[in-house]
Amino acid sequence: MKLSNVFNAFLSIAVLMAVSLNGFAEGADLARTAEDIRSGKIDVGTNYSMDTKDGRFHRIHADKLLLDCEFCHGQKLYKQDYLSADKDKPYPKRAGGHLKKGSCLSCHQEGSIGFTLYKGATTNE
Amino acid sequence: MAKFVRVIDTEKCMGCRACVAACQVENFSDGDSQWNVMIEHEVGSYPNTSKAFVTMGCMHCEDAPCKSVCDEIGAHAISKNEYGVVLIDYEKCIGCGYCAPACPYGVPKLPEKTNNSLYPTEKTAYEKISVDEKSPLHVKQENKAQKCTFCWHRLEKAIKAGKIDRIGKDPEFTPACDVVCSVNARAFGDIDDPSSEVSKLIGEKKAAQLKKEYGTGPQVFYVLEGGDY
Repeated sequence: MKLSNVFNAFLSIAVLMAVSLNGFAEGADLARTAEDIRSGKIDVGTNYSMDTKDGRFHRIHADKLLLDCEFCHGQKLYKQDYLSADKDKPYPKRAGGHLKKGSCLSCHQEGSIGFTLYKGATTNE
Repeated sequence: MAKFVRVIDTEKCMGCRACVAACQVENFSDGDSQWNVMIEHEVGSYPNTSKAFVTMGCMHCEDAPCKSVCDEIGAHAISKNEYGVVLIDYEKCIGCGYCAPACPYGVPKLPEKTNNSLYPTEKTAYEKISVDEKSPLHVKQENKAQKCTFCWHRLEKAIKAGKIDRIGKDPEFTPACDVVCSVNARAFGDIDDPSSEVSKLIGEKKAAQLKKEYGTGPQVFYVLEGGDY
């Protein structure tokens, strides 16, 4: 085996490990931040509003958990998700666009880091 | 205890929108805050295409995420009663709007203006009813959440009259949208009664709940082409 091949193999493994560890760290950070929000260590205010970015909802998800806007707000998402009531209607100005509601499921189903909003697929089967 | 569910047969529905109109008139809802909407979409691929119609109202979920999120923030404006109907108390609603994104079906509406009149020139017979005589569910407030109630004011009337067994059978005790369907694509009744039409439809036609992946246990079932998914 050539020395350059061995070097490339080591480099690939190192990069993969770095990416994995980084992902793990981000996941752990997210869980820790979520717990801090729940316990009140991180103040997210009492302004329960979807209207403004100063509202509690956006402070939790965007300011503290650092989720990108596109994590929730998507355009033309309903092509595959047509069985939702507002598919053909523009959202009112207070809403920022179509919401990827599947994103909510990732954190808010039973056993995830957010409070339980959805029981998830297997509960009622 | 009876638990009321709706079954919608999408194989029968021809998209006439009578149910949408009936809901608008019965519940004073307008274009910005319709409680029952018709969604149409194309199926198949050219040239073998057709249109499919699905009406969507509140699913009155067993584990309603709108209620969970409302309770979580301490507003407790959304409740689910013993008959399985999810209702919003406009007096308790703080208008935060959290219920809207939480609902996988996009049901709750928070209109900036409440409906004054369905028609610009004259009021319907329902609109002439004074506020005192209206059901509290029809005294809506701006910027507060509202949604389909399974026409609770009709069901409540049957319960008070001791005619719970007539719900889904007598027009006056059945949700307006289900009464007007001209092709019998809609049925409403008690799922705990094995002899009810809804129980039979769910069993025989394999009516399915939509978006089961959320585990919310919706109480509206759809007969879909190809059966349950």
